[in-house]
Amino acid sequence: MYAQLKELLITRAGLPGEPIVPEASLDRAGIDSMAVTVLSMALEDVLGLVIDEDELSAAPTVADLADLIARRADTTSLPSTA
Amino acid sequence: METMEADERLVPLTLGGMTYACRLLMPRHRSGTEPLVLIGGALQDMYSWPRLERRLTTHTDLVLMDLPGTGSAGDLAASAGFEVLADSVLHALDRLAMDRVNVLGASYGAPIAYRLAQSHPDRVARLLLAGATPRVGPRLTAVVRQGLALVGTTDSHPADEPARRDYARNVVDMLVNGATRNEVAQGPAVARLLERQLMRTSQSAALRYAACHERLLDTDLYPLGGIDGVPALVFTGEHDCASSPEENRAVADTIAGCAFALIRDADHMAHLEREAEYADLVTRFLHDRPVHDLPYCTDPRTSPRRQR
Repeated sequence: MYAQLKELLITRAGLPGEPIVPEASLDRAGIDSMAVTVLSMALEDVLGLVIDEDELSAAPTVADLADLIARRADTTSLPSTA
Repeated sequence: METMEADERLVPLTLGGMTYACRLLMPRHRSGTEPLVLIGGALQDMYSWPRLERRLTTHTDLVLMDLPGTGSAGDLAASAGFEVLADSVLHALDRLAMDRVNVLGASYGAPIAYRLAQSHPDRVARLLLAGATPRVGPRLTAVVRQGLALVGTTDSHPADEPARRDYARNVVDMLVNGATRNEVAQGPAVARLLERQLMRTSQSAALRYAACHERLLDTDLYPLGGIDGVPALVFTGEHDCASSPEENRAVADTIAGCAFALIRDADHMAHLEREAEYADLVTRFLHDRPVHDLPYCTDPRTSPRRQR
């Protein structure tokens, strides 16, 4: 998921790739409120995931952000047991 | 490389009982031009430009300001004019021992930057105005009045959610042209970001925004007399409906020899929609490089009249 996240941030949010490393905080990686908004919209477009901006921006690091998206993707793809 | 390698310094300021602040970002290599003072819009503070910070600090020292009535600064009565704010900028330059600077005034910041260049042309090496209009037009005036009515006074309760949502959408439709949103780079994302921010505005912040907005109404924003002897650039997005291309042109026409540019596929929020191009345009002008015939700008001589 990290590689896909980084690609979305570069191609959709227009961020430079160099600061986007797993251990970087979102701030250090350049992931500002605009990037988070674009990412939220892109996740819905590309992966069908609805994760709002508050949840995304609460991730402490880029790796945590990738984990959050991966977990949500796993949950979303599970068949419903309801 | 467009990552920021700059040292940061915060400077508290006071002038005539007003408290405010500025933020200096200094690249770790010589920039070859005067520092750039960035004076932003009424909804912005000195931390509102992270993307431009990253791009511009590879080329120039940058000074961002929380002028009275914005961000971390103290309140400023709506009755205080733009002259007070221009004086605040001048005082900051004195405190920073900056004899000459480049000044970029965006939207609400444009009348402040203009006054500084007009009254102290010796202090302004280059003037850049983004999203400028001689007067606030009737549609934006109506939206501002809607906001003023909603926010009420210090003792007022916040308006209910549907009323705030309606206002937020009207503001967004002015800043991110609703008629061309899908033609604009990142238009839907900028609109969503702004609407979220507006819906989360506290009552105290809303009162401060209201004071700033009220300052814009029913007045000529640019004093008579024009500007001569200061190299200047006026620019905005080609789809700007808060300050149309024609209105920006009218402001440019008051400045002798002023350059003019319209960024393609952008509107009043060009700094978010086309940040790389916005930064390139600014950087070119700061370094006395040509700003005409750029691939990301329309030819302003052939730009059609846009929807207001």
